[in-house]
Amino acid sequence: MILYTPLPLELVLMSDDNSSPYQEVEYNGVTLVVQPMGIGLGKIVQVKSTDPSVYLRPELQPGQQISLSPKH
Amino acid sequence: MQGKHEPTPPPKPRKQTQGVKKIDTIKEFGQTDVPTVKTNIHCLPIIGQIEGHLILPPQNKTTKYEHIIPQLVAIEQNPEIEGLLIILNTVGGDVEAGLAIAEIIVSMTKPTVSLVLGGGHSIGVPVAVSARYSLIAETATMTIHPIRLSGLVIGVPQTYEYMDKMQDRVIRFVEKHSRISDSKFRELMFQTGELARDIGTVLVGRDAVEVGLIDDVGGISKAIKKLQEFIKEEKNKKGDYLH
Repeated sequence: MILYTPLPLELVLMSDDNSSPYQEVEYNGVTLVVQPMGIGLGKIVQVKSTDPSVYLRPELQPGQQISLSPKH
Repeated sequence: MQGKHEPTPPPKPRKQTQGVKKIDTIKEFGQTDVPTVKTNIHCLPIIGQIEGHLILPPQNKTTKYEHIIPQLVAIEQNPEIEGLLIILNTVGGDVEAGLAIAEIIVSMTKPTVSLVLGGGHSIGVPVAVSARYSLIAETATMTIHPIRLSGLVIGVPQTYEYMDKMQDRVIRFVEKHSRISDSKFRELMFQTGELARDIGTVLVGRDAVEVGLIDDVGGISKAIKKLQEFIKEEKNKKGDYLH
């Protein structure tokens, strides 16, 4: 793999802990990055969609809590 | 996605907070749901590092290739989406992932416009030029510099040749899809005295237009206007059977 970036490679590749605190879930058809908050709950960190109207939905605003039950 | 936004709420997680929100929207707007705007233009943000073959450590903000490619395929196929706006604020990343995204964008039939905001560095350059029309914000920058090798590097001529080949892939793509010439791009790439710890060039806003890399300086209004123009052209070409 070749990284083509102006950032120093030691900054990009340096890591003490490789586990990400975030989790990716599908919620009502939208991919979200959430921070697990406890059993079955998560706080929205990022919305991943190309549809601009998804970003206007109040229940998908970053910081909102959502339930992470595996039905979706 | 919007199809789900009907009077009957999705049967899923009915939590109290959502119940409260529903009541709030009835009180505030006199309706049961916040109006969602139907849009025929989708927006693809490419942020942080473009991540490809390796998962980068978590301190990196990344745009994952495996997310972007299926989204582009879906956009190409969905008849309701008529144009794509690509917003770039990236520090580069994996060469192959970046080139893959750029190749998909180039081969799309839907109109595409890219807008470099903040920065579109290194492998962000081919992604920016891959759109049918490219724009850069006045304050945005693009860094053009040679590719570096990481890890074990064997000091043989073949190493140089390999690196040169990898660099040529990027240069050839940029040259083919923008107005810049091969020699001008190489000149910018190997410039000394511009960057503190590297060789290369930083192009700020208008500079990128002057060297022929980007089509115009502008922001969101210009980008949307251009997209709408393309969409109209596209419709005229097809004999105006939509709308």
